[in-house]
Amino acid sequence: MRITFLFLLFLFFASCTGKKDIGQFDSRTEMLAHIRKLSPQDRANFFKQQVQLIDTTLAKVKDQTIYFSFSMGLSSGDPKEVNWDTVNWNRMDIQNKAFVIPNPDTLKAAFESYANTLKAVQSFGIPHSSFELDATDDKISETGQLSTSFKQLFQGNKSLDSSKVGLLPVSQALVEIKYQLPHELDSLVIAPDAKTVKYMGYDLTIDTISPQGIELDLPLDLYYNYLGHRGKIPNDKLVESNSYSAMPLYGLHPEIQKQAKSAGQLFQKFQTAAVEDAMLDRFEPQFTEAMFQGLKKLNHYQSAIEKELKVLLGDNKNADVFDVIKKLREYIESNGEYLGPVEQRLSISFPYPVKQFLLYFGKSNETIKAERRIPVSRTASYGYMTYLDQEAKKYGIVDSMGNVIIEPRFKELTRSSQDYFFDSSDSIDYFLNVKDKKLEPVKDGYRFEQKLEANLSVFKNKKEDLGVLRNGQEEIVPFKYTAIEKQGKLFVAKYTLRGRETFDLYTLKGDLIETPLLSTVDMLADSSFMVRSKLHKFGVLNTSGKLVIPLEYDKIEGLKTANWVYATKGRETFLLDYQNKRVDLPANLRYIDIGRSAEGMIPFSDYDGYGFIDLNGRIVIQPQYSNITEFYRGHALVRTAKDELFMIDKNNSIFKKLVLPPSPDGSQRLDVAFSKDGTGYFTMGEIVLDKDGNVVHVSIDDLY
Amino acid sequence: MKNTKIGTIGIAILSLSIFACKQSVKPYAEAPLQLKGVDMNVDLAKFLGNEDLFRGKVDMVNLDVKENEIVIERKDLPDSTVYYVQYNVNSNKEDINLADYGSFKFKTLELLTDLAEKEVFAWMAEQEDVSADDVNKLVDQIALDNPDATMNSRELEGVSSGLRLIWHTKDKVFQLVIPEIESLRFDRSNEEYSPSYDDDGNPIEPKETFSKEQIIALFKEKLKDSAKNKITFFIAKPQFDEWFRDNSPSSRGTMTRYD
Repeated sequence: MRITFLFLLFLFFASCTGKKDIGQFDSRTEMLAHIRKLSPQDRANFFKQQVQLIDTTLAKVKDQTIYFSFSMGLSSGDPKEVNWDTVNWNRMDIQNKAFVIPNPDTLKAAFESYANTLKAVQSFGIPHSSFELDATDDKISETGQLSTSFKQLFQGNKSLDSSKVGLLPVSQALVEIKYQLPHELDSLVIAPDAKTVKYMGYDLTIDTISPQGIELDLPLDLYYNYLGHRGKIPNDKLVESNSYSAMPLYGLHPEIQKQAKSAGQLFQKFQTAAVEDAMLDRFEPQFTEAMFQGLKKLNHYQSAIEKELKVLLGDNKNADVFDVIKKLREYIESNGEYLGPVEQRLSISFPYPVKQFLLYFGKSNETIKAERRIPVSRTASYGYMTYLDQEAKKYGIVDSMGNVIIEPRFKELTRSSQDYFFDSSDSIDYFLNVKDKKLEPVKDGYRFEQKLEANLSVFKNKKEDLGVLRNGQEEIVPFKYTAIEKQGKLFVAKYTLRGRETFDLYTLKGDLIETPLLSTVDMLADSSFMVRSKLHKFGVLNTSGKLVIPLEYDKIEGLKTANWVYATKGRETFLLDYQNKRVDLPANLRYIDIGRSAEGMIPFSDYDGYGFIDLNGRIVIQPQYSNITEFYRGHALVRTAKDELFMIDKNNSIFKKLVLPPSPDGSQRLDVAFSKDGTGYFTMGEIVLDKDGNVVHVSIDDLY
Repeated sequence: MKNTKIGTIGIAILSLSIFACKQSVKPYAEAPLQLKGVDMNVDLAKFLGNEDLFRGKVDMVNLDVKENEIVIERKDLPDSTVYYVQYNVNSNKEDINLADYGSFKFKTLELLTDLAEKEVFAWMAEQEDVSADDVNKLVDQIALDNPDATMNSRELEGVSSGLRLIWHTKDKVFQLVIPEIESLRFDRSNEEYSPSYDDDGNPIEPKETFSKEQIIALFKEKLKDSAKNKITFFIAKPQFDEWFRDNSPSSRGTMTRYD
């Protein structure tokens, strides 16, 4: 009976005081209706409770911040402790490093450069795409405050309604860039024994302080004007820090704080002994939807976010620190409307004890503006990509034009390749079936690794073995390998057999090519394969995997000539074609340059210089050149003993005489190098020539 | 009918005995390899058949595999190259021994094989912190097991890679090395001079003046004050011993102590 009584009392109490918490109202309208139903005295109590609740909560959350810190240090190897009290500072070789504000003209030039190289990357999303800005030349953002706003989006020359962009691909954007550049310095001086710091109306928090370092939290408004720092040592010289970091402190989102504070002030303003209807009439229009949402979020923060953060921070004391950081970061990112950067923590340390820390801030700021029409590209340069439904917080897939291929229903979808996507929420790889517009999970227990071609890709099974699946389902190459590559028309699959590297070869249809155990597989210039058996014998497989030169040679080297190689057997070396026709080279050649053989022309040298042998083993160009290149498209670059440069053909006829300026690097080295697309170029040092000997503007750095 | 039964029983007994012989060498890391009477033609596909060993999935051992070569330099003949595989294996745990010789335990076991992995060129086992008494017991056991083995005092002295004993038998060469103690020195003051080459220029093998017992006694004397010894034990095929001793192998690690 007694228990029942207590229970009823509790219910009564709950009904009397219930709904005093704004978090329990679904809408501003519901809250206002509730207040209106209360008596004027209860309204006053309600207002009073809100003021107290908001003040208490905001005061409490003020100190609840999270930051991510990671530091590594290298010991100088000198463990000597220095007694700084006995140091004669004037006898130490310490240079004065005064802080100098950058020249405004230099900053303006850097701003121009930033504006001119600015571009944007569009991430598709509904209802709004998002855009990330990036400038190739960004030397400006470290000094002063930079802000950019989008004024107009374009598809070609057509203006787009920015509120309706959604999945439309944007090609250009008109942006306004504002830069607040400092003209004067203001300095904040802090002594190493300071307990509190006041600056520009802010009470700054000192986290740690000692004569050699300070950790200080700056509100974001102040941090935007922060330019740099110095330390003043006992002889008044200014020194630079030897370690500096600035990292954001996350806490209750500033927007929530702002709205809650405004709401609190409003409740305070109308808080009297009794809130009559007339007062309520004035109160209601001033209590905005933003204030209501701010209070709702404040309530949610206190009831859910704060608790979850405590769990994440203290749940498992033995948890891996990187794992904790990762989870915290993910949590903060996914709760961006509740958690945001509230302050910036500066950590500054100096090589010597200082008598003052000097922090510099910009003042007399000048704001300069620029408008630019900047290019906009997509996160993936081609094919299919994910997009986010911001309301449902689910990902789907669109093509490069923004056409929806897969509706947004995946929690954490990212693109792995053109055809494969990965949902990290359930660790499943999906194959994109474009034809049927389906995202199909790959074979159960398999992870996508690398695309090989068309619909064939390398996967990893649970035992970490690699194999090949077609469309993520059908096994083409069995799962027993440590590496799989497509080379020419074959898959080359590597595994270890009793610790020794061993290779299997498969056709692109997945048929295993029967060979002895192979320990080396190298593709030759004609796309056939030089192979070495486990018994150290060399042979050649043609492009379809047929053994055209048996595994009986001690060495085989490619000649960059279709169907021919250079072979060694015992003490003999000779040319060998894929029909096993052997061609001996002239006897007593001093040196044969196999590395620069190509197009059936094999360089050799004797005391008269370089010449060439053909595939019949005949000397077709007598030794005469001091330097040569391999043949490319019928030509070779040669240098004579008189230091003349010629481009010759295979008959040793001069195709062109070349007069080149000295190479910038001073090198006279002749070579043939190739671009990524396979085009060959002759080079002399850093000078690049096309196949006909014309100088072209191709960088040597782009050739290999 | 009766004959068939006898035949069946005979085949069964024969196959059981073959099975028993093959079972005498257990796969690597499943049991220590008994080096006493070890088979140089052991089935390596089975002995090293646990692929997990080579993929770092067996915690208790480390395994490293390298292909090396010995270039054989021969007078008046073209040089030739012998390729071999070196399996360098050792236990991570104190209480696991990978090889035994009789009751003597080795923590580390290495082997050299031909490229086809058909025959073992050499077994190598190593143990640390062995007392002089235990080394002596191992020496006595090897001597006892190989009564017909010969020893050559000249190949034991003046070598840089440490104190050693070498026993030559018809099909194996046993070598016990203590790398941290300097090699033996024999008192040859009483030996008579003999020419090194005959009239045709062929080398003359000098006469051995020390008995096996004298050599072993000298070895034990040299060892007696050393309380903790690292020992390396090799069992090699005579042909490989010859290649390795006379030429320059490309292997590293334990084989640098082979002299």
